[in-house]
Amino acid sequence: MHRKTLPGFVSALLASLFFAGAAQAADAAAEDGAAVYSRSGCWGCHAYLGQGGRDGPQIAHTALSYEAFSTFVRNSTGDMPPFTARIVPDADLEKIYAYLQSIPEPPAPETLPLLQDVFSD
Amino acid sequence: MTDKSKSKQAVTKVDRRKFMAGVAVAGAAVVSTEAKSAILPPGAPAPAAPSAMRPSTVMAQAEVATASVSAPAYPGTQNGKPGSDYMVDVLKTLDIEYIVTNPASSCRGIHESIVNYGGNRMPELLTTMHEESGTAMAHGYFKVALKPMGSLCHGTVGLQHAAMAVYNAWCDRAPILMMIGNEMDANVRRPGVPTTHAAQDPAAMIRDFTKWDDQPGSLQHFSESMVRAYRISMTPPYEPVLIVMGEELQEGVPEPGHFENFSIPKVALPTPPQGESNAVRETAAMLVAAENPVFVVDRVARTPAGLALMVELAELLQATVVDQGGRMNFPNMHHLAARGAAAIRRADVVVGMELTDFWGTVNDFSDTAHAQQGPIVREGTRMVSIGTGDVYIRANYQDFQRYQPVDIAIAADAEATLPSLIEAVRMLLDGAARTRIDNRGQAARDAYNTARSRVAADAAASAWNASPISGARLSFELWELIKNEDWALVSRDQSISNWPHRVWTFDKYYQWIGGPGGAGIGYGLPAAVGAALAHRPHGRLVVNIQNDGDCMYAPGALWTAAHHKIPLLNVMHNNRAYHQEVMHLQRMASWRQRGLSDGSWRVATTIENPNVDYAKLAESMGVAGIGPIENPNDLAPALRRAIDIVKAGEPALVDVITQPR
Repeated sequence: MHRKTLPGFVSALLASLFFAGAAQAADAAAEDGAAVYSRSGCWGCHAYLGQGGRDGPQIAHTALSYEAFSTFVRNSTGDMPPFTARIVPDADLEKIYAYLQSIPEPPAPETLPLLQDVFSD
Repeated sequence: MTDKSKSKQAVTKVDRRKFMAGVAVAGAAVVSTEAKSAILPPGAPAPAAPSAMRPSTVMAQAEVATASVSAPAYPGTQNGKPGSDYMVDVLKTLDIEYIVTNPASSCRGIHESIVNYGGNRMPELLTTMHEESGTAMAHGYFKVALKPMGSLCHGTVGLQHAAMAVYNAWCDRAPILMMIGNEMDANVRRPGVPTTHAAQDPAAMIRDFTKWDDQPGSLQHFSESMVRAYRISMTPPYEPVLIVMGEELQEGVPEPGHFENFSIPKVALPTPPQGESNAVRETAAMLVAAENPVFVVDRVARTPAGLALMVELAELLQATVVDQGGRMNFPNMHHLAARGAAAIRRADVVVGMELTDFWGTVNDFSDTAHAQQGPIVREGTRMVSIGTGDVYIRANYQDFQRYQPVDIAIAADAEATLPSLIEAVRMLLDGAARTRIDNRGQAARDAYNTARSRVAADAAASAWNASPISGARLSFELWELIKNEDWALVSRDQSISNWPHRVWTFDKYYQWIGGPGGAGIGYGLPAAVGAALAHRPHGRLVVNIQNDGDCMYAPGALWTAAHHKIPLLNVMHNNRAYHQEVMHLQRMASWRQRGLSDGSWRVATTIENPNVDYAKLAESMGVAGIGPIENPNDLAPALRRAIDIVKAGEPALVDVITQPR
């Protein structure tokens, strides 16, 4: 019962993720993965939908296989600290990966009027 | 001997009363009328000069008191012009528009003089809720107005409150005229705080991060010291200064006629130091011969002229400029503007101008358990530093980074050095150099266009439709509404992944003012209010993208904005956390192999449970509050409403629930 231990903001966050259509995947693993992703704090650097930002790259729809993804997470020597199985168990990492792969693709920029207006300047 | 001449003789023998024959009358001083009569009956001769012998009680009282104070027209009142009126006369010569203050007993003399003698104009008092907020307002104000504001604080207590904001201003090269009250003479202190909390050297606590301070012993001394303080503060590198104003100096009434020779010196601001001509020529030769020269700039443009000169130099060489953003140094949409370290990795010459961290500019540091670090520049890359960092440096509270060796170090003001550097470069350009430069310019244009073409796709992929709202979406929605206005951003944008700098066109000096300098949280909101105040006469639409954690340090700045009718659009970046510390705690837990999956990194890092309702907070202080906005589709209407309010001359706040960064 992970959610029982989650602060209110995380619950609200998860609800909002669904509102955004981000976690519409029927896959239960992905749904669990959203909770694990949130609880483990992956969003701290990679943001709520894995879109990345100033402090971490986009990881939604990573092109890495699960094995490569896991190897990197467990053994990173760069800016991202290594997350071992001791602090993110294998089962949780698999759920996180499933969640990241389930996030809907972003809209095409040419379909967003605001972006067209800006770049027509 | 007349009474007046007696008095003069008396005061010249008591140093601290040199200009204040009537000081004992002031402010219900310790010597009461009755007691004074007992010590100095009417018609008694002037008190004797201080004796080398330990004085009797009566003699001691006589030494600090004075004779021949003309009788006031009304009992219990003063005649004549008090010392603090003279202080206001001095301030009025310095073109100081505003003094921020949180009212304080030790400053009551000058407070009253500013209001009633000075008419509360030039300077005008601004009410702030905290000395740190007031001083941060002065900091933000300077970076737009380009002239200093005063910050009037209670002695010991108020100055301690202000200290962090002074440190921020010091690191950020921002002049502020700090003024505090103090009462050195225990014999005339009022009971209570002035006696309990007076200080022998109140400036000591901020001396490590101010450029100069003084505690004048007379009004003439005040006149000269305040003018000197202004001049020192406004000589690059600009820094805060402090004048301690004795209460007896403020509240005492000099004898009529005593100030026939009182004078206020003229201010002549020194020209800042320029780079030595040989070093400048050598740098120019290095730049002209380089394949990939790169300028890295932080606080180069002290004025709009600095921005124009930087563009002229970069275009002359078609050299890339990496703007670290301490000031508006270079237009962000110029084809020579670069982001990140890639340009520095390719460089064969790096000229660092007014950098706080040259080492960090040309080295990489990875925040791992083993703290990996190493150079990012190619071997043989030549380096030049131009800046005032070596001219002005302190040992205790530091504002420098690791030592970076360079080939040429020019200890001079960078903006002041730019004209001679441009001229030296121009003289060295020949046909071959121009061809090389033209080719470099074309390559820079191509790279710039490629980078620009990615921005729309990056924005769309950056959680465009998500709730919480992304920094990209927020920035595009805002830009759509302000791009045809005369706008300015008065906050940093790194907390939303620098999206405004990726989307908005910054090409005017006043559109960007950098950050706090000393990384002190609590700077953002009050500095934005101060900057907005400086923008107000120009009618600009001023935007503050306000971090939630910073807002909670000093929310009272909202009240100041409302009270003084300072138009400012506050857009909350409400990620409900001190987010940088979230990441730090995660990193520590990861290194130490514990506690990550249980969410313990939330402890003492997040601002939730309960969530802060910033719209209600704003409303409670008279600022229009809108939100919280969680759905990105609600954002544009909310911002439009707020902008209408701001255009009508009032501050407004839109609470936006956002992605972490």
